[in-house]
Amino acid sequence: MPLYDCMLLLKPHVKKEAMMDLVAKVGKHVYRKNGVLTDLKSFGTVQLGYGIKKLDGRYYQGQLMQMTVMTPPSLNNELHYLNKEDRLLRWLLVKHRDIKFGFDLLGEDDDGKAELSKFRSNMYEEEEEDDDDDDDDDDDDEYNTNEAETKKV
Amino acid sequence: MKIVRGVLRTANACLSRYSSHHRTFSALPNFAPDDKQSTNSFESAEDFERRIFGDSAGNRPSPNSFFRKLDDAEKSYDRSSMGSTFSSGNRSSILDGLDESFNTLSDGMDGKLKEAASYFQVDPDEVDKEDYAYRADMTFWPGNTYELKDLDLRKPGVRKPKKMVEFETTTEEVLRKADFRNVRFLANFITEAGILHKRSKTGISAKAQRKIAREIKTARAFGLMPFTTMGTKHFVFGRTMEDLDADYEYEMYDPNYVDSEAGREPF
Repeated sequence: MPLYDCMLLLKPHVKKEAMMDLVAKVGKHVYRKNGVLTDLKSFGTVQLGYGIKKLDGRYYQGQLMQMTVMTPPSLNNELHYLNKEDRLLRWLLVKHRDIKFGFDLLGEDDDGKAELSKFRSNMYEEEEEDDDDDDDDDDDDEYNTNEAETKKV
Repeated sequence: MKIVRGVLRTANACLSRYSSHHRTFSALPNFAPDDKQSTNSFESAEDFERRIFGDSAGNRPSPNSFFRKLDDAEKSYDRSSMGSTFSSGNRSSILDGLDESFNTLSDGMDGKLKEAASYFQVDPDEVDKEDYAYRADMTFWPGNTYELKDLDLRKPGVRKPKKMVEFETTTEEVLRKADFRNVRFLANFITEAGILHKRSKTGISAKAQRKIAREIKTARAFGLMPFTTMGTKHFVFGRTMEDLDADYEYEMYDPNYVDSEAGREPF
């Protein structure tokens, strides 16, 4: 079974509980196929390259999650239900690759220092939390990104 | 310094000797000032002529004649100034014989001018001064390199443009870091309008360029990078692409400005 990265880009105001609920759903699919969830990583709130238009407005930020799973390649087909998930802006299943960047480099000698030097004083500033509840709108993406990049192995 | 000072002293000495000659030189047979009054009053016209032009009877001028004395004074001055290095060169012995009268060529000014032109006052504390520059006609920007000929003060300075801080990368770095999640790295490969840089600009291999292009396109589809920013603002990693009022304000320099947006996310 190959390793996959399941990237989930959620709307910025989605709460932790709702996020974990979504991750648990994907995890259930993985376990049903005798797969393993090897890593779970949150990238926090990221700035998007353009405003993603959903039914409830344009989103310029998103919360990024990465699930590293070891499953049979048929997982991709089962994840298509995520298209209807209204908490999601984008999702993507790619093959896992051994690429390090950002904080992963902190343990290493040269690049880790370069990463740290990019940070300024107020990196620990609190993100303000929106208390909006999710609207029950259907997803209406301008761009469909639901094709996994991978081929069956 | 010492040599120059010594030369100056000798030059001054010979000048003063010259001026003393000049002072004592007069149109009188003997140079004692007390005799001057008495001889001057009893002198006849013939005596005066004889004194000035020498004896008209003999071909050889008498040693007491005015012009003879003038010549003597001239020669003694030349001999004394022979010791000074500056005035010895520009005075030929042939000219001495021909030079009957005292003219501007032989008044020692040549030597003085030459000395002034070849003398440069050295300030040993110059380096510690506030506005000291080894090459005032050149600006060495940080990051610029210079060759040996740039430091040669005999040649005119060539102004070089300031080196712009540009993103540089290698093929190995690209292959190691390129990933659609690594937006901070990928953002270096798009222009202000959001299109890909050509390979000749970054100098990476074709393989690395294909990888970069693939990752940027994946990131675009995933929403992390813009398809185009033409007509909107430049995409900078960690900054929102939202249309903000602040984007339309005039840019002002704020010395206390801290970039709060850039580099906040580890992603």
